[in-house]
Amino acid sequence: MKYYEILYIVNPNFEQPRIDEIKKEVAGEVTKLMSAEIINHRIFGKKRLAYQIEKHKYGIYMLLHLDAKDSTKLIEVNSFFRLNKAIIRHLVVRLDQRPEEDLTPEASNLNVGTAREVGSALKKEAEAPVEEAAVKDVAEKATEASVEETAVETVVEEATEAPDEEAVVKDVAEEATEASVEETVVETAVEEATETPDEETVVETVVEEATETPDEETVVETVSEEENEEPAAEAEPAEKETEDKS
Amino acid sequence: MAFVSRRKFCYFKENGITEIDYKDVKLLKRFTTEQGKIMPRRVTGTSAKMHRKMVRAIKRARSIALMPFTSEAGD
Repeated sequence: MKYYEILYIVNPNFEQPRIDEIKKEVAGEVTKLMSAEIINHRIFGKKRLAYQIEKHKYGIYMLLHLDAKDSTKLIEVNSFFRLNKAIIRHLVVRLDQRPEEDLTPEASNLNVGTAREVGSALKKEAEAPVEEAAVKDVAEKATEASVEETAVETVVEEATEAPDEEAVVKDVAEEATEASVEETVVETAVEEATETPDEETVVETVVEEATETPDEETVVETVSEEENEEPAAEAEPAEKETEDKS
Repeated sequence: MAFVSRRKFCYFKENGITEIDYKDVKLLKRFTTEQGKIMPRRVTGTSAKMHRKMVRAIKRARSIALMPFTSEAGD
């Protein structure tokens, strides 16, 4: 008993009925050649290819798990996949353990899945329980980091290493923006006040606010100094890395 | 020089990962550069054993177009 996993890519322009046809064809060929029992056979998802294959930008990934009695005809199986015009690429991998039977209903929608959907698909995919746990870990982290993910990955990494620092920086930035907004508001208010002396009382309160803002400013200043220090601290390990590389 | 050295650690050991699935692109992407090159062990700090497994998984993923062999900055 040898377990195999075959991942093959079908022409992305095919609709569901043609995919079912191909599925049947593949299943028939494989069971015939390898006297195999099919454990799983389903659509893994329509995905964007990392590079173009025969001018295709997308591909329908199909996943097939086998329990094969005869492994001597693998060459024939490979050539079958290669000669089938509907299949643009395939990969046969031998598995150490029997893959888990996938009882969840097949993902029927052929829309291009998002990263998260791929993650959940992988979760279902996991062959061993240990692996499953690991994948879950990764998926969880991904959801945590998904907000910042698109920005810069390295930043996210640093954030996980030193979350306190980043939080501080964020707070600082927020304070700074708030303070500056207040300042501009006060300035305009003062200008208006000089034009219209009737609104003296208003001006007074505004001026009071203005006297308050300098305190905030100093706070912002000290904080910004801290900000300046932090990048320097971060720059040092980076230097070290570059040294390592050289 | 008084720099704070960042501790290197094996990502897989830390997370209890023993097998790497080539279909887990999200995980494998952590160990490639933006261009799609596999990062050296001295940078990632993974153990030799897991690095070999990871490399094999990346190469499989490349052959089935789940991961790029190379990619331009904008692509």
